[in-house]
Amino acid sequence: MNFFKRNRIARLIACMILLLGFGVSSAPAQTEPVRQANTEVELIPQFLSLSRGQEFWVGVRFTPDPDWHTYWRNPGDSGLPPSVDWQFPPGFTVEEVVWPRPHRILAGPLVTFGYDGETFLLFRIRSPTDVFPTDEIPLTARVKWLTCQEICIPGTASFSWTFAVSDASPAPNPRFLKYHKKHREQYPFHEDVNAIRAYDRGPVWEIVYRPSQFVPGMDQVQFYPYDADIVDYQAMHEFTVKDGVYSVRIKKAETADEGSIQRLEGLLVFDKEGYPPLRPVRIDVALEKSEMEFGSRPITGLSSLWGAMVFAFIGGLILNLMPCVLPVLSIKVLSLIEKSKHGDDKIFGSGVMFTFGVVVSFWVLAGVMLGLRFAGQQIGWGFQFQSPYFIVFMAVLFFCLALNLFGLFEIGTGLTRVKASDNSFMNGVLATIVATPCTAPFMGSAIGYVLTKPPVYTVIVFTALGFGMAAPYLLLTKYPRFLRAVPKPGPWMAHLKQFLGFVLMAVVVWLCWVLSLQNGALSVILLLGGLLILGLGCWVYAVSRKGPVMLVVAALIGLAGLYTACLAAATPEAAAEEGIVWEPYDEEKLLAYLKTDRPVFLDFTAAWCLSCQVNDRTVFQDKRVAARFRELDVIAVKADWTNHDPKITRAVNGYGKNSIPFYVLYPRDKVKEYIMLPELITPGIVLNALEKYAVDP
Amino acid sequence: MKKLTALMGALVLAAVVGTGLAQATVQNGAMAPDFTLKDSNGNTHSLSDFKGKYVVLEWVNFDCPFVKKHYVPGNMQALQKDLTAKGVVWLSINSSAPGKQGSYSPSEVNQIMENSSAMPTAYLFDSDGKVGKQYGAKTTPHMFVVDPEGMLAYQGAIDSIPSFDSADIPKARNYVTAAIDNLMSGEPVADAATTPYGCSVKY
Repeated sequence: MNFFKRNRIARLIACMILLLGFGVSSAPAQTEPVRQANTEVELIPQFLSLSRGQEFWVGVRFTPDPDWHTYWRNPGDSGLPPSVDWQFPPGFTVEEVVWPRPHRILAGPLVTFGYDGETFLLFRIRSPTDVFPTDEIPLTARVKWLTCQEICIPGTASFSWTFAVSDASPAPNPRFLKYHKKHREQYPFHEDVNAIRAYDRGPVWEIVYRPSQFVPGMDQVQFYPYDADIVDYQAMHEFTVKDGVYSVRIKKAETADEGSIQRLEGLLVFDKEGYPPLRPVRIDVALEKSEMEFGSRPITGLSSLWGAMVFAFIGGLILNLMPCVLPVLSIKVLSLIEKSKHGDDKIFGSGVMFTFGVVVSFWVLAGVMLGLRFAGQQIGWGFQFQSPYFIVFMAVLFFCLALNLFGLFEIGTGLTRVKASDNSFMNGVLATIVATPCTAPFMGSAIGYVLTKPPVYTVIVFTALGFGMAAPYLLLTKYPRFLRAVPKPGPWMAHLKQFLGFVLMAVVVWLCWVLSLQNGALSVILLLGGLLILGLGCWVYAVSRKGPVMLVVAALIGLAGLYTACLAAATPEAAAEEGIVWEPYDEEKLLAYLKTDRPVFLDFTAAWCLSCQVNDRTVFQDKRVAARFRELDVIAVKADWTNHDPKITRAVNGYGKNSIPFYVLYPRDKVKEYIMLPELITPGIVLNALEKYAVDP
Repeated sequence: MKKLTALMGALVLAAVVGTGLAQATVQNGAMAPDFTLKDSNGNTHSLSDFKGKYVVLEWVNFDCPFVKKHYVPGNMQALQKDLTAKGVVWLSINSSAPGKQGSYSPSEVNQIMENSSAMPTAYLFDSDGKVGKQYGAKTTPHMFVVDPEGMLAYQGAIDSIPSFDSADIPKARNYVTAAIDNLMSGEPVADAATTPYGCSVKY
């Protein structure tokens, strides 16, 4: 506690010296802070005196004006980190530079890494062990930095400091302690070497991190790479937490030269809104190539083509047991049992066609994925499920198949005219399509890995996968005697079909759940409504086989159902509870609102307007802004100028503008005038404006 | 059933392709995207007009300190003079949005170029940022070199020392001249993709 007291007094004295402008005794040539380029910069050593063979820190403080920022060591898409040229007597060396945790700063479509507040950059310096030639050590540092808002201003400043030479314990500099203490939590720390692993997983880098001290509830994670051209700065990371282990997936930069990247170096930063920041974790690990699911050890055998083929074949076999595929294949087996009465040759032919159908479908999928990859897309297996249209399509498919299994309508008769082999081919295609929901979770990263290999490799592995899936069926058709183990055809087959229909309906339920997460509750209702209409269409089709008029009616009803289901995919997510609820612009309504005593906020925006979108993302989706809007009961009106709308054009001109974005805030007390916010807004600007004009006087 | 399956197959493909839409960037060895822009004298230029010649694309903003680094001591102008004398086409492109930093009228641009003796083949306006975003231009300066076949041969920084200090220019390796020297002597470009440095493009 004595230390604290002394420290305080020393600081006070230092401040007084500064204020009075004296250069005094033990710390001569005190360096003043420099103000330049909208930034205050100061050089602050850890000690006032030095001894031989000593390690010490020198801090450089940057304090940019509000709304201006400086840059981290990797500035991101643009910008430049500060640099320091040191001039010491011979023998001094700079051992290390420690950068505090940066932030993501968005500049239009670009992402930069930097600091929008005060930073204290640390340099670790070592003095030589031999005897100092003089009793004073001069230190000169030329600091260059760049401060940007939207525009950038460079700054250059020179500092000089003279240390007293002393073999006694060095005298601490209170000013250094002050800033070091203030920024302590910003400096990265090293974890145990075994706590962090990094993997190269096709389109992503994955960092698996088991923190020595796990802090639950972190909901934001950001990896700041030391080197450029490794990570896609735009993409947000995916991350999962399981049993105290973080798994962070970071999208690779399109320009990443994968062959030359052996290590991942950077900072990993975890955050939770409203919590004090955690210290950033220093990442410096060798990348491991891995093709297995997270958690399992890489198997070396897989890296060889043969190994991959065997695994793919087994994977294909397993696919048959998946709930998505089982019903389809069971139907096939049932039909096989019936056919086996007629003759063996024919059914082997259909087995071959089925296999062919499966393999060709896998080739098509491989082709599509490779095509997208060559077009520069980074995708993984299961990506289809990001599309609500795909979800809706799968739900429709499974629903119709289930109705078919229930016996609501038959689709077999139309096909009896077609050769049996063709039918089998399409069955193979169908089986592959319906298998995709099940392949996604089980084979995701394995297939992702395969896609990083040469195209021939991908095709071979996909072929093996297809053969694996078709193998049991092919065997059954080749050796129909195995079928004798199955009971004779009878009513049990119809019952089994109906039971499998329920399995498919369960998959539909699951798909509805996925859709509800993507598009909200309304879309599920639309999908279910669409399925109902579609079911009606199937029923009309079933009872009206013979009349062409009724077939047209069935088709029309079916299309209406499909259309409704597609609406479900298109329905945008309903406004989240915590978001701002926007009302579309309407002149009459606005006039009515202006007679109330609620504040009214007008947002003139358009989908094609980049700064509008930037503002929307950074300001209106900011939780604080949304919360304040709710608290103050603000009526939020969005004038969307994406499509030509003479009323909105009139309104834009009415506010004396001819371009967007701009924002209008009507205060609670409507006698007062409205205010307009600038083109580029920040959460701070909007919150201030609300504070000033929308809060009760 | 067959038709239905085929239709659904098409739907799968549509869904798969639909997820593939994202912003474009250019890759070395691929065709450089063609564009048509107006220059400061009101003439229109297309990249395809210059087929058969080497083309340098320079993203520029005269108010950016990193651009000034190369223009104030005359480094960029010397480069322009040197390369255009060798038959290379030099297109300076400004993607600053109207009202943003570096956005000047054609007559102002001509005045600035005259005062600074800048000698690009043309100074082009890309005020809506379409070409800049198509090429993934991030900084000023951000340099691209297109070969006579129209393929992109270099993209990245102007030189090897990221700074705003003109004193660093003589110490740095100029990637653009290096790339063109490589190309003209039939060698592969040694540093074909580097990380550009500078101010953000003011889209």
